[in-house]
Amino acid sequence: MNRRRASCALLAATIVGMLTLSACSSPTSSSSPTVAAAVSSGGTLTVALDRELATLDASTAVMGQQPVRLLANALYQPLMAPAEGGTFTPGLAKSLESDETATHWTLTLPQKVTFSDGSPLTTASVKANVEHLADPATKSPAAAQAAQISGMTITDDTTMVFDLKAPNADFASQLARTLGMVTSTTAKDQFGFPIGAGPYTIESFTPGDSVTVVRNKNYWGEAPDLDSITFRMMPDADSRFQSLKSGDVDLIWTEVASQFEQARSDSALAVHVAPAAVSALQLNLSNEKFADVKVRTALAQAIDRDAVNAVVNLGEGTTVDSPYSLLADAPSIDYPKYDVDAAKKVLEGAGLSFSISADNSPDSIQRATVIKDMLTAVGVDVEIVPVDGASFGTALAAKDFEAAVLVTSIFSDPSGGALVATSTGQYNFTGYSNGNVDQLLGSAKALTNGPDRTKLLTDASQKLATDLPMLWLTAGNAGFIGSAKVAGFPDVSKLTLVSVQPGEIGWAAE
Amino acid sequence: MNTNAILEVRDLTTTVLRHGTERTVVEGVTFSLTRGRSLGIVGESGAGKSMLIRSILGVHPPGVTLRVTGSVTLDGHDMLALRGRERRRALATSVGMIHQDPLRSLNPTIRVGDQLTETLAFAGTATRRERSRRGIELMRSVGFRSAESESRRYPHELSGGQRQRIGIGAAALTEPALLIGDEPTTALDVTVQKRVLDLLHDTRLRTGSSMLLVTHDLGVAAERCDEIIVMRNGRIVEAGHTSEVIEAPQHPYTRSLLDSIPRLDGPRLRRLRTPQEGALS
Amino acid sequence: MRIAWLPRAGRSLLVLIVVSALTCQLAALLPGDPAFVILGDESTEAQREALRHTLGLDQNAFVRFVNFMGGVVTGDWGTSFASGRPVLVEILSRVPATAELVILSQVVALAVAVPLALHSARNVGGKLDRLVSTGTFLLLAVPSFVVGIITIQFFAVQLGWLPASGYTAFVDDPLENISHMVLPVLTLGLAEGAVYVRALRGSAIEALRSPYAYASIVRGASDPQLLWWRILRPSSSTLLALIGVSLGVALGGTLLVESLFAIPGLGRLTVSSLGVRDLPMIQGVVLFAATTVVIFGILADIAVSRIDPRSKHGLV
Repeated sequence: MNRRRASCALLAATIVGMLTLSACSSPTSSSSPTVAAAVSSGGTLTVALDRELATLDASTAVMGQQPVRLLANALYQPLMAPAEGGTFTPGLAKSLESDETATHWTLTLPQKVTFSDGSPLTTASVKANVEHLADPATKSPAAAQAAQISGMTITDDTTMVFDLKAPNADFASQLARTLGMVTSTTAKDQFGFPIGAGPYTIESFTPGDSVTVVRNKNYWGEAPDLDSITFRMMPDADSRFQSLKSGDVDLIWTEVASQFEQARSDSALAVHVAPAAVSALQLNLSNEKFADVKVRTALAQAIDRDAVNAVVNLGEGTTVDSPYSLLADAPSIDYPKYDVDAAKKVLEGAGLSFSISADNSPDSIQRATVIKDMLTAVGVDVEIVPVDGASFGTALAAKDFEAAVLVTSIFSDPSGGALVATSTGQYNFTGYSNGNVDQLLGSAKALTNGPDRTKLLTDASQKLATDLPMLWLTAGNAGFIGSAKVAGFPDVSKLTLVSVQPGEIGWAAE
Repeated sequence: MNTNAILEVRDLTTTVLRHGTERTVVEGVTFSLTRGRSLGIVGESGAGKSMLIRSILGVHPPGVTLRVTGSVTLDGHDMLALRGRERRRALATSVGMIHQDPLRSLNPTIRVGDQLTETLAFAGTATRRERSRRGIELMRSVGFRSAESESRRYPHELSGGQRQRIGIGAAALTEPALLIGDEPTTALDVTVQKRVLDLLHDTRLRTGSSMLLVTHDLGVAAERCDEIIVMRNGRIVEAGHTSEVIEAPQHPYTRSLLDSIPRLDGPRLRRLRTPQEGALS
Repeated sequence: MRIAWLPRAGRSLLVLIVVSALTCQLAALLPGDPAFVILGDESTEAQREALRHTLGLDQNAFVRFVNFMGGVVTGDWGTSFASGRPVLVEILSRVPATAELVILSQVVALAVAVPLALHSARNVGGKLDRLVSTGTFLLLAVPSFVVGIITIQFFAVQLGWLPASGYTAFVDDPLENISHMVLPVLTLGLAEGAVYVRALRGSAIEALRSPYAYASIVRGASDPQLLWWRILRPSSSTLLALIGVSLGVALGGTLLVESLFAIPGLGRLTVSSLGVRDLPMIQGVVLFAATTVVIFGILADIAVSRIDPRSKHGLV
């Protein structure tokens, strides 16, 4: 019960903190504590991203992805920003509050917010932006999230109310992503992209190669320290790290455990990471091989999650046992313990054999291989099927797999659980359907964070741990490695989504 | 010792070194060629005739190492001792060679006029204009009537006889002391052969060159050469004035060569005689 | 140009049409759904269906092929799914980087290969020949990206003389551009050079055996004169054909070297558009690559006909 008390205290502190900060927040700082290192003004930073961007349009899928956050924050500072333990805090916005039913959300903007061309950013702009994203002609992935809004009521230039079709206590998380990146629906920049209101604007852009952003002359908030930031797109992880070591770039995004390990022992480098990517083995329940819960339980018992963490994440990262393990008030549940003998009793000689689909990144294949080895040790025959990235999502959605390793960041806030565990959840690739869980999570959706909500989530998690449609594995680290001379980095280790505001960082003062 | 010799070869022995094995291809060859005269070198394929020429000139076949001993004096040059630039100069000024296959001995990618005068180009002794003038002049002298336009042609645009005339012209360019004909008529038909041999004769008269004529056709050697040496397996088996060699051959091999020439007035044979038939030692 | 060019042009056009048709067909067979990639994991099937219809993905391959070819002749090669910009514009924006990389590496390859090949051929089995043989053997056996990684590790990370990756346009900063190009050009150029050396050496050995080589030597040609004035031309046909193919293929994008050195060329564009199932872009890049191959094949044939006059008359 100690954990319960601690999480209550943390929750209370967070709420108090939010209220305080919303009253006097400076738009450029997130609520996470800033390291008190002196940051000099000026200079330019070179950052290496792990993917190629063909476009910088805020409405596209790639701009909403975690590794691109630093750039997205620079150009299109979202309304809300991730805070510790899966909570959210105002970013561009001044405040966001819901009523008791979690159906009506009131957004307040600071005074005198402007787009990068100087034109005012008002609640009308926010509304227009949401409508633009909801329009199928825009082809934005945010359309799915905009669809949950039944109406928007504008009270005045800085206040508006979102009416949701159904209660959603996690609506704030939507405004931390594409939906919350407010761009102008009337003005575009010289590159043809709708302009944003972030601290930087685009100076040059070579699609698929690099983009340079410079200080926004018309920024409405406190000016950022760096004069400019150049983002280079380098999909090859080794190449990226080598470029950092040789000094070609100053900061890189990476998710490779061995690189974090190397960087930690190098005094010229600094590591800023958080466990942000959760992996879990999905079992296709429509396949009769997995029909028996005893089998599924035995499979869970055959997997040593700590060993997976040690091998795949090199000990960095943690094990998880529910969709809410990363969050501030993570439920404590009974998840099947690693027990080879118990597993063998059920599986040995049973002749179970199935395939594990994994996306073909070296990381995922390694993870799948580790699991395969563990299952082989208890008499299960496993075949690994690598599937390339773009096909993997489709295969999951079409339930074209027997077992699949899912690596995702949807569990960075409480909404993730419902996505995998409810019968109609968009990430429910297992085909799991439990009326009880639907009910629990449905009720939880309407509750804001608190002991009641936690109870519901815990019960649901326990059901998941008993029914085992998916076998939980680990949460791996993801984040930045940079030159030690880059200062101003907040402590991101408690975040569930690594998001850094470029306005905070810069070169260390001499 | 023939003090009027343009070419003096003494005890020339050539060994081919290849993949660690040695083979003697020319053995103990001694002869001399008097200035202004012609010498026919006769023998079957493989007798060592071509290797003899290569040994005298010092041009080894591609990819093959030769070891040459003895002495060769050509137009005053000690050929076996010369190196690099000196050898090239000696070859360019003292020797002119006419090759067996007129098509293959001309570079298909270079115009005939340029090939005709390439000796000058390699020596660097004449300007482009001079070379061009010289080339046209030379072409006229070997029988090309519209020399200016013809000099810009490529070898494949000429007939066999025309090509051989180019070859002769190129050989005569520096008015060399020695002309070497390496089976110059083998690839030609008989009527063309006669014209080419006549041209060769006229050229010699003009330039005063001596001549080595390498051939397997004893008949041609008999007709055109002052002296003949017969080679077999790398050695000289017979040597002397043409009339002596033809009328009174000393060596059975020579006799069999003579016998194997088909004659209109001889007995009608079922099968042509080859040199192996007939008495041989 | 005395090559019969009309049937050749006709055949080339046919090649391009067939290549485009095959690409449209193959793209349709690719697993993975572009609508999924664009709209993301949280979209509904209904939304994806609607997008598929908008993008014309529900038409069959033949219809898409006809529309594509129709657009191609008017300069409209389609619109990229990933960037929303016209495909032809995206492709042309990548051409300078790839062209610079490819052309410079061809120059390096030839500058190294031709002298080495000719002089090795002159003394087959000699010291230079054996050195060159070993060297080319190594370069052919080792994949280009391994060579690239080694050069990066040595020159960029250890010595710090050159940048490890990246690209600056020549018009922006010539010096930066050159320093970024050195390692990739070296990597690509050495690999190509190895192939060229072997081809030219073989042809040159053949040419040196011919009577015209003997003739030129007797006329007093020195080794350099013989090799460069009299042997290079007749030995070049194979080499020219190889260069034509190499150049044509490479201009379609050298993806290994571009990916390793982060050069924004056609190769990288091809890889990324495949990865996100950007079908219009895939079709466009393939057509462009096929076109460069065809064009440079024709140019190589023209070069061979000028080098070797026999081919004009159909003799070679």
